[in-house]
Amino acid sequence: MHEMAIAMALIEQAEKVGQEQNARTIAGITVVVGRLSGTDPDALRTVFDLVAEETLARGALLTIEMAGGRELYIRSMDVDVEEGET
Amino acid sequence: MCKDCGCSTALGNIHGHHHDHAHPHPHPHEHDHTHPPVERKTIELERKVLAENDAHAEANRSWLSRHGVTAINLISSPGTGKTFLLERTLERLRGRVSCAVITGDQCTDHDAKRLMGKGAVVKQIETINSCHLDAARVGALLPEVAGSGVKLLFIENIGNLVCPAAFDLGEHFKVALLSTTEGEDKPVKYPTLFSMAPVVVLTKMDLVPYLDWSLSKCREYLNTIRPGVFVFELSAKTGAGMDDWIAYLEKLTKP
Repeated sequence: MHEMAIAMALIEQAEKVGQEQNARTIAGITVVVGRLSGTDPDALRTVFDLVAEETLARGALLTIEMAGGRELYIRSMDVDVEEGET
Repeated sequence: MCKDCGCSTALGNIHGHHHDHAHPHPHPHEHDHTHPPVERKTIELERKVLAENDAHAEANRSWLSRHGVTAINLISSPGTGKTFLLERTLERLRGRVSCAVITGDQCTDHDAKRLMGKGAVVKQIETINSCHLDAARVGALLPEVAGSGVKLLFIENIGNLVCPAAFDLGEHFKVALLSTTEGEDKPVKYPTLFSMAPVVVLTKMDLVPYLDWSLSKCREYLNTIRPGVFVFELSAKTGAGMDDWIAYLEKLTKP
């Protein structure tokens, strides 16, 4: 099960973006997972919360959109920033 | 998140004290909280999850090309005969093509030991708990393994039809192996790998007389998943079909 590695790569990228944006928390991440990407959405969900602990994405809502090919990318993320930061 | 008031520990120390103690909060929470107003915004990313691995893979590919090395990533189930095929392959290419092998297993260096002494540089990666090789791990070994005049690098991935397919290692292409004892329909059961491998090697062809295994059915499944896939049929044990495989590998290393 390589979803742990996928989740780690996912959170690492999200955290980097979150830091760039001065986010206080990452509230949600939307990921597109293709049927031929070799990634199991349920397994990804299972490990996501575990990997997100101790990061900006702790408690973040993971939304998975299924696609037909080899897609495996982050579509978007919701971050909470202090007003006036933007 | 702080259990008592719901503030995130990622926010740091907004209560004016550290959070590493048990949190007694003796005061009620009806008061105005000092959280600064927060606004939610959506950031469009459209960025690959494995972008970092892909960047390592691209670096590996350009390193290999600069050094004139052709690299192939061998993927199959455990027990298909990757190592045995490599043993016979290295013996036949010895003195003709300078080869190197990076071989991955969860544990032990059994494969590296089997492959040593056949004229190739051999390096074992033990992944311990991981089910696949990744580009960074392979990249770290390239100068040592393929630095000195090597023309052909075999990367023997962890025996697994699922996970290794997701990680580009920077190889020039993937070769999927499938043994006759695994049945004909693995390509349709594991389409991710078989759709990505332009070359498939059918191993243990010497066992066909003892099995209810149909070559035409297997080829049909392979072509369903990847039309025009290049297929070798061989037995590393008897040597049948090995000539074509060896000639093909030699051709790969010619400019």
